[in-house]
Amino acid sequence: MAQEKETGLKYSLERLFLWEIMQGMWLTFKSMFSKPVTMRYPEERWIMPERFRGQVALVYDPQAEEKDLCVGCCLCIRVCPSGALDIISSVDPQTGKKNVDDYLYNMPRCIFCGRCVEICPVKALINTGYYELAQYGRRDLELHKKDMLQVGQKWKKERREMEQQGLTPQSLVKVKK
Amino acid sequence: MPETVEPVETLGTTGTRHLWLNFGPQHPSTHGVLRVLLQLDSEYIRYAQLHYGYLHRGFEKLAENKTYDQFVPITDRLDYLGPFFNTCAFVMAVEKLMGVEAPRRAQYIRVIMMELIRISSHLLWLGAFGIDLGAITPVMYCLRERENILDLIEMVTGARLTHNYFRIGGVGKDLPPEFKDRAVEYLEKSYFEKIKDYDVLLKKNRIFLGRTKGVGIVSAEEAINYGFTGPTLRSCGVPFDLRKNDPYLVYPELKFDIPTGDTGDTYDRYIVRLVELRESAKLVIQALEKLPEGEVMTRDPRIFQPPKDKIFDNVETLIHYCYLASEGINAPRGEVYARVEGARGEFGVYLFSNGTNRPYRLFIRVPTFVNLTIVPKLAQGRLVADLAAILGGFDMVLGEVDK
Ligand code: SF4
Ligand code: SF4
Repeated sequence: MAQEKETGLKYSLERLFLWEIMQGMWLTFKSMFSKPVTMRYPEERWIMPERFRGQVALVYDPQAEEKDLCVGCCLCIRVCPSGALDIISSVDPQTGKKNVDDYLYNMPRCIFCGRCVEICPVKALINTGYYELAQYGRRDLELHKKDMLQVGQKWKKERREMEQQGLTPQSLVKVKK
Repeated sequence: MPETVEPVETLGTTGTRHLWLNFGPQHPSTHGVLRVLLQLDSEYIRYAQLHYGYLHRGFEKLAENKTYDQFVPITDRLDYLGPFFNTCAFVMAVEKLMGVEAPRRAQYIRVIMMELIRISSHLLWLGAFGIDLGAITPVMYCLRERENILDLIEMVTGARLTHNYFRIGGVGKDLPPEFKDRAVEYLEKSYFEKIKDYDVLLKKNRIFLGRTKGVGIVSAEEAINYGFTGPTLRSCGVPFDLRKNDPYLVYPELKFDIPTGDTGDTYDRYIVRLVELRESAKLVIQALEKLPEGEVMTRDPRIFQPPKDKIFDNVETLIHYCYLASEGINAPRGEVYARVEGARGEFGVYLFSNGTNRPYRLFIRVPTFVNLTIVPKLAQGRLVADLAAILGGFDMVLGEVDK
């Protein structure tokens, strides 16, 4: 890298009149008139991009009401890197079919990698866009099948509303009180 | 070899006792939790010692208990300012072991994402370095610019910090259709201009010059002896860059320059990184122009998961799908070393496999851990305030140093 010349009239004048400081000041002065780039969270927030991986939730079967899609194959449990998921299942003695009694999601363990959603063969799991997940106790963060289905339903509804309003991902929305 | 200085209990030059001072682990200039133990002679550092390990999470041991796929999202947490480098080094190591190669489109996407994250990492460094030296303004602008880059990355990967985007054998998803236009428009229209503005803020500022010129000088020979890599090595005048010297992915097809400094002081580290900011943006634009069509995931049956809508067609596909998902990738026996040029230097992954689906041993070579070893020597005889400048120049990320 070539060194700057440190002699001559121009250099002395620049030193004397604090030229480089003035340039910096001018830059900061200019930005007083530009639009702010920050958003007034939480009054304003933005729509999470399509691929965002938030809280994991289960979804209902679109064909049958009040029936979830999970078949209890346990693949999501196998691929989860942090062991956040578990299933309690039983076998129906009459039909010999496997029943998923409860689905456990230990949210504090989840690292939101999205591997479970990627692997689920019947698309029973989804990544919602929820990211404000703080609760008062650890118990509230351990979700069961019922809670996860609720979350999934809520998310699907919100997503549909968003699409109806024509909001694109990564745009700002005002939150109504 | 550097002359070794031991801590002493005698009186200092001013007749007062030497003072022991803990610089960190909570000091803001250590960018995390690095502790530097100092023995001071009045305000000058007599002796310095680095203490690592406050952020140690045991990644190498953790990898032995995870399958290869499961470890991929965890690599994001190593160097959290440049997560793509870690993941890329890891997946390249596994790919090398298995003898597969990612499709060309995937390789281009990897290059684009890595260069974008290099920009984001260098921008954050620029801001934080300013703060270390008392200039508060640059960080505001740098974070604003970084935000735009992160928006682009978020569009593709769905996350701003822990992306989990690269996979063994390719990348997770293809680029969204609107990505190219948005990225090129942003980079060409406003990015270069903004970088020029930020350069004005610091480059000739006399306070900045006073704090960085001649501080922390490392000669080229010393830098090589200490095992420097990355911008820190290039600032000492050694034009060594893995992207050119040991090319990986599609870097040989792209044109870019490697900036080098000549004195090896902290100011040169600033100059080198600032040039790299521009070079990386040029690389992104080039790669986006050359981006070929095609698959983003290899079709090797040992890795490739059949698509979900095909698996219920016949039972073999279903078995294959479930087997791959529950068993993971079975890598053959062997040992490999894969390395990439990260934002801070050579990030390498050494993998020893005994033929199962988990690594038998994983060693991670991190650049800043090695680069920092020279800090005690550089700090000797300097003011405490200079230590902040020296540490800032090394651009350390403690998540990476402590693993
Ligand atoms: S997102 Fe990742 S960590 Fe969370 S439950 Fe799914 S697989 Fe496990
Ligand atoms: S992978 Fe899907 S179907 Fe299988 S147990 Fe998990 S949620 Fe249920």
